[in-house]
Amino acid sequence: MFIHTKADDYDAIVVGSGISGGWAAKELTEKGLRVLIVERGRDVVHGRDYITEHKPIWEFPLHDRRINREVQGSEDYPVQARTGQFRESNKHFFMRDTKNPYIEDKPFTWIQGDQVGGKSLIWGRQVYRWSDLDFEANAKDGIAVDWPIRYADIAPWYSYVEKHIGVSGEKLGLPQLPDGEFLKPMEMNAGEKFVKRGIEKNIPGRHVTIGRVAILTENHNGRAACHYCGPCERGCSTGSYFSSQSSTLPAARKTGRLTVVPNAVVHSLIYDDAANRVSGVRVIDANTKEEREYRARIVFVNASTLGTTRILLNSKSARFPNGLANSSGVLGQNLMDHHFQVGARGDIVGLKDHYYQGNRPNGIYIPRFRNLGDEKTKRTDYIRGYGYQGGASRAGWGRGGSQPGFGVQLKRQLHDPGNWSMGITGFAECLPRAENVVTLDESRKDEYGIPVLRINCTWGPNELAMRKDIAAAAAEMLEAAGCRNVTTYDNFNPNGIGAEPGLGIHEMGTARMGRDAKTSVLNAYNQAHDVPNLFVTDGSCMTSSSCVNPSITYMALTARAC
Amino acid sequence: MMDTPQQISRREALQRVALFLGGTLAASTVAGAMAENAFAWQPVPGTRYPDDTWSPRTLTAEQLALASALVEHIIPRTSTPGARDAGVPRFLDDLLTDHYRAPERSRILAGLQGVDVRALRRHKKKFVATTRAQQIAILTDMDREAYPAGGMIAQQAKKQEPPPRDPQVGPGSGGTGSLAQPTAADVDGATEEVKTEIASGWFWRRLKEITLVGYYTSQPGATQELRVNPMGIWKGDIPYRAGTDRAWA
Repeated sequence: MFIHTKADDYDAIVVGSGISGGWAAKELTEKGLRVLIVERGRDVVHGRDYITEHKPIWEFPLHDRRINREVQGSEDYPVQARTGQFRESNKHFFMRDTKNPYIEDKPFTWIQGDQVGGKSLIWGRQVYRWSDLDFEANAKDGIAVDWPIRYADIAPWYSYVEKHIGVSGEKLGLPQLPDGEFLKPMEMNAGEKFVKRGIEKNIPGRHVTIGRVAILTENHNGRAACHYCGPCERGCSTGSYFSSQSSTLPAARKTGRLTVVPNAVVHSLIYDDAANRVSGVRVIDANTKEEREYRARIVFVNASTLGTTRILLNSKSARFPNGLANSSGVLGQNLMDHHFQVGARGDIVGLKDHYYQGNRPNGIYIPRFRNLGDEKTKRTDYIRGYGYQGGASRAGWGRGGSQPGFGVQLKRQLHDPGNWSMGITGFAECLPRAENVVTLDESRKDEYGIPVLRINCTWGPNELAMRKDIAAAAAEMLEAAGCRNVTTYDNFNPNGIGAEPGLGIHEMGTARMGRDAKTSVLNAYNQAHDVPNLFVTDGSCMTSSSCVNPSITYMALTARAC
Repeated sequence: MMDTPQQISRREALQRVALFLGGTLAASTVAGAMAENAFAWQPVPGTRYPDDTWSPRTLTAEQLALASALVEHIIPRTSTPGARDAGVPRFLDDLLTDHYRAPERSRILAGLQGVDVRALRRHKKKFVATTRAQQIAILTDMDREAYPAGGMIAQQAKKQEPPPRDPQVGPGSGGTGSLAQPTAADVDGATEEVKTEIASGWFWRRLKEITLVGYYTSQPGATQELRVNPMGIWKGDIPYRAGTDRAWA
């Protein structure tokens, strides 16, 4: 039985408080609406709840070990433990997998936050604008459906978002990677400068730039510049990187029109058949399991790509027996993620009198250089493209474990930093394919009585062909730069864990935007074709995946939709 | 310059960090200057260590004594603290109790016993009862066997490969009581698991890794032997003077 609230308490409900939900709340409250955020996870208060921030490593019982699937502590986190980010100091910002089981028909790693702020507390913070190379791709290739927008539609919203959140980076003037409103870029280290010089001199058309990140290099909008402590994902009380806590939720709260209800797991949306409108949400209290309803005139669903899709699929009615706003039948299809974990590394000779100071939470970026629309960059073995993220560093004390020797000699050796090396890893586009699909498994329910997701997703021939080139081109560039002992790697394991879909944590596409209500869920303003007061602006709205990190595009689309 | 609340909290944050660095941020610069002639590369064997009074949860007293001797051989006390000063034996016991699962724990304990087996075969004494020179000779053999190419080992070897079914004798195991002639082997109580671990080299590589992690992420290792990368600024390219400077922990 659901407990009802008054129908006129709120003008809008936003489901989820992560990167896109925070933006929806900010924009809607600033336009005068009374907004309710329902968040399935616990509350996390900016500053106060960053319980491991700046804690010295020796104060952790196990010195901040990584928690992988082989060790104790991963029992309740068998999926989250697959990502290298999951460790003693930040596990409290990840989903306890036993609270949200799902079925993997094929290996798919679903990394989730479970708190106010969602994954915005632990995200990678890399932000790159998409270009018309991306927005026109489906139409030019004749696959999936065309994006209903072009770069010109979203460009002003990128600027709007960047000015608010603060993005540091370097302008390059490249059409495939449009410049933004940048704060000053972070400096490369000596090894990276060496590699940059070598690549740009020896392979014309290639660029090595510092990563564009939502981290402040200057004080900005009342938030302090980064102090380079290093592990952002423990939380940042100075608000130096973008999170909902540091950026959008304070702006929304300032209006006096925001209410946030944590521990509220959305079961489904309430659909009013007579009016053809959503009228609210059914939630289950995460602690008491009590059921409640909240009503509003507009609903934004920003529960993360798969979370949103699951809610919509579970919102069934006579008109929408296969999920809300799913007259097209494509809801749940076309799941995408960026594929990575493939690249190369090499040694840099010399530079022994160069070092660096501080912990820069950023690396370098090599923008896409394949299939740019001209003959010179055209590949015959795959369509679309990829960029690289990476960095150079001097080896630390850890090198002592992989070389012979012990005692005073070893201690003396490790007193100084070791040799320089450089590594780059591809981040690559994935095609939308209908057979990469998520469905509800009605036979299995989580502790809230919600059917679990069944995920069936694999990399296709285009992705696998691209991976070969990613490794080869990485090695070619490092060798051109003068690196020695260059080796390539590809962690993809066809039947197991290694570079499986989901691991990129850029899942998207299962409620895509499009021009035609018959083949897409959302229109050009992220409004459901079928239900006019329903909006979806998280990653599920994406029609293709580009090769660059998607979060700032979710932010810009959200601001544009509000 | 105006102080926004955020800037004040940033300053506070930096001050808090300065506290655990043992003073103000400038202190690390001072320490760097003082360190110029502070490192003497001689072992300083000790008999007392600051953390000798705790009780292990997984290791027996005998295993603890052996493990303590081994980690101190890996990172000895010099003019700066060694592995025992830094609490590495306790870190090992914590990992064995709270981190590793049974199979890995079992391999490490078998590996420890394997060190005693080597000492018994060679000297008819357990490792801790042998002389310092004898201990170093045993560990030198183990190190040579664990890194067969004499250089960097392949990534695969670092992973948890199952030990070989047929223990192969390493190139450095000759001499009295060699594994090649395990005549006295059965009196030292070595199980198959221990024999396997003796031959695999895995235990020694893993113990070295644990020792390095435990030491360089300890307060003494990170602040006295190395230095903690100070917060507050990022400089991409600063000079490094070998012999004067230290690596970041």
